[in-house]
Amino acid sequence: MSAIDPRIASIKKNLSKFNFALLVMSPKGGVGKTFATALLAHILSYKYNTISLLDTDLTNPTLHIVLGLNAEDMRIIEDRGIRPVKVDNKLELMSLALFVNNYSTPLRGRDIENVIKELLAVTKWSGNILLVDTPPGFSDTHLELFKLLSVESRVFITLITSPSSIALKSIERISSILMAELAKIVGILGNMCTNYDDEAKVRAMAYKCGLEYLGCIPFIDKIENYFGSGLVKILEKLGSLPSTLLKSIELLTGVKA
Amino acid sequence: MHEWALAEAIILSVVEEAKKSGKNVFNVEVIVGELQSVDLEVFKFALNELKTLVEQEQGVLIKSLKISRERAKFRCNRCGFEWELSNEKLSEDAKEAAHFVPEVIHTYLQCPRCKSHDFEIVSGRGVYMRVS
Repeated sequence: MSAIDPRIASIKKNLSKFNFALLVMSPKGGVGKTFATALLAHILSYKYNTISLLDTDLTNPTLHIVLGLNAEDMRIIEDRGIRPVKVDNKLELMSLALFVNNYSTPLRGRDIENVIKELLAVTKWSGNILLVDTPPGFSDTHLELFKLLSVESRVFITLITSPSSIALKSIERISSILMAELAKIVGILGNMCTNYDDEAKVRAMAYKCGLEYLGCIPFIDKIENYFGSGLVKILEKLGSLPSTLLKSIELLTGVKA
Repeated sequence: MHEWALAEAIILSVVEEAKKSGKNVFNVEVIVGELQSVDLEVFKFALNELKTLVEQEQGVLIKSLKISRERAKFRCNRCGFEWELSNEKLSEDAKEAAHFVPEVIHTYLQCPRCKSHDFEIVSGRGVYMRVS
């Protein structure tokens, strides 16, 4: 008798509804991946129907906080699986915070693979675009996501960096390994840029890596004040960045609203 | 109930196996880990309903369906201590969370000897299956 993991069949079924999956990645911590993911979700929601968000920072999930949700108020809703948490009319979220509240979950590699599989197998999404916030680095979580998402979805990546030399060097490293694997990268998005010089650094790195420069999110003082519904106010300050992002994503994915 | 989703996953897997192998008659064994606290009555009912449906609609016959339970056991990665879930008193919240994502048990349990959260789920984690 051959052993079969029944979750794989569920994962395929659950993912088959997505037009594409977009992973937000950075090898360096602290560059604002989660914040950029939340902004990107709102930007994508301008053009596409419901955006499904998956927080894969398993030991320290925080995307729900940036989106304005309180873990203690989030409830598990069963429907032959679990429904993601509604953020608003156009965003839905699945996060391990739904199960562990405000506690941390220390996990080894095999456990990480299992959690990713379980979340993808149990979640009954209603969106057409899957946007994934990933933890820093390029290890178990990312490798498992690539493996599982590639089976049924077209997978794309947006790289996030701050203008610091360490973050930029890290982006250069991860770009080369991802490009060697023929990964489809939308481009490089800068975050926490304070002036033109910062933007120029991010732009130069994108050029060096042979990737699209998507623009820069400016440094925002007291950013916590914008979490939740305030994120929309930030979008108003981004000028042409949202439309550039949407054009780049549409061009690469071929998926029109 | 999550049991319906689990049962659906089992049946979908048999259908996939039928497509891959070209066979249409199967013996299926489902192993249910204690940690996932599956309601066996609901699970069996769902499996039988879906089994009938897949026979009628897709011509895939599950000749025998065996369901067995596996006890949940843990081994501490720090001090090597081994223990069982049956020795623990879990809150209802923890049970519900582990029902959906068994690995969250690392949030709610500690090694009884050294208090570490770094332990391995040796057996009884979740649902898996064998087909022939």
